[in-house]
Amino acid sequence: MKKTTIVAAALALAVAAAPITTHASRVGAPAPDFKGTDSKGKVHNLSDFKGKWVVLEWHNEGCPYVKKHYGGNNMQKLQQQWTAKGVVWLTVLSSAAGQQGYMGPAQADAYFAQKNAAPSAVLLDPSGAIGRLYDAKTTPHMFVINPDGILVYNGAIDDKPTSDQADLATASNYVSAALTEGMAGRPVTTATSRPYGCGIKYAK
Amino acid sequence: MMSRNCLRAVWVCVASVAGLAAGAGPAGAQSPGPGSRTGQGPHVRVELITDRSVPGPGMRLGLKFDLDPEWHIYWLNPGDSGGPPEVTWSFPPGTMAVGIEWPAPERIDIGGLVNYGYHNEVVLPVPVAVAADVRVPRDFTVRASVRWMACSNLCVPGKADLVMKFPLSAAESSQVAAWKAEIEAARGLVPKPAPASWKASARATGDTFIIDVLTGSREEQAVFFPLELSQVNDSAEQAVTPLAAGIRVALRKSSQLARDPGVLRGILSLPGGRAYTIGAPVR
Repeated sequence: MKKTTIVAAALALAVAAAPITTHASRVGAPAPDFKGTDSKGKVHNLSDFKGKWVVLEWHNEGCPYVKKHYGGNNMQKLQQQWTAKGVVWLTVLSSAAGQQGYMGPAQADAYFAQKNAAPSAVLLDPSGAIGRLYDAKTTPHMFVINPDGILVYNGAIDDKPTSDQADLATASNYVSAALTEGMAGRPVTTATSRPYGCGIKYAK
Repeated sequence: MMSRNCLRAVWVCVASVAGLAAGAGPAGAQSPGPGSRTGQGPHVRVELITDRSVPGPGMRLGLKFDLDPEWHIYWLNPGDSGGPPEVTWSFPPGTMAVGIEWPAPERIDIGGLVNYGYHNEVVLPVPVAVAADVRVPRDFTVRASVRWMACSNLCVPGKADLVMKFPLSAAESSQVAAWKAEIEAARGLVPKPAPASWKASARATGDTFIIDVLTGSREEQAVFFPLELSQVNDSAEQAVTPLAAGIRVALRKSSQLARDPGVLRGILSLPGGRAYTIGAPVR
């Protein structure tokens, strides 16, 4: 048989599999640099924030999972708490034009002001370039990057993967835990988790 | 709440009926009040059905979801986004829901992200365990508090508090035969354990897992559904290669995967509605 067939198939596959790119958003590796424009028209590069902790938060205002965290004032509190400690908090909108969660600059500013949100900036990413670079899947999907530019957390916002606000009271927040541990010079206990939420409405 | 163990072990979850002494089960208060077997949320109708007119050992209930076209609910592992339905049961003392027997899901591509779930209509069978020393009363009430996430391109959560009361009404009794057929049909879609003669193995190379399943004959097509979260990049295309005595499936690793698992567990769906649970040791 067939042994040769299998070996041949294995070789063919090894060749086919080789070009697959490595994970851009692998914890422990440098976070991929990006260039993004915020709702004020200002351009940010990730490398601008070297020396600071950075949080990336993927957002879609119409997603029930996002509504849980904004309706319950949970995300705003996190933004206030951590930006007060010098963290750069970037909220990223990767919904394509015409899709749920897409916002232009003025709309984004009005919306986040109305929500009393306190991110450092809102990055408008309708092409999905930043989202795809990070392999962001859901809203929310959270990333934490340390002052050396290393990704130290990639995953969910907390350990209660529901859209029910009542679950906020008992949830354990992974982002706060990563920042707390990281700032204390300790390794991040939970460095990855499955991001939960709505699929990001990327440009096709 | 369904036990997490039952959830994770899916269809192999077996209740230790002997250990279920009367009162030891997660029996809720049995205050018979008004309630309905049916409920609904946006784009979703849900109904509690049974395969028995008279409750007793061996019975199954079913959670029947009827979805608007283009909308779906989720399998146990929902894939890139979303989440499975959750049920909090209330049963009379000495009886309990064992857990959901999950039919094999579909791979649902929503704008490049992939979900595992169900379209149109799906019945989730739920075996009922009865403690050995319990006589099931004729007057028997089951309550199910159901929460779900339904998505098309958009997502809308729903919930319903369902009640099924025995003895059934005449109208309900007349439907039991049809319900039983629906529950049996859904059980036919639940993956079976892979035959003992099959050999499954996996190789981790860089960013991929390569699973070989030797079934004894060439297979042209297959879809792998990972049982565990965050092992496989759900939206990555699965590269399938027929083998002389089986099939090979190449999967991209998840960005959230911290270290390779010892065993990749999941469902291998083959053409013709053949779905099997496999565990492929990773080397």
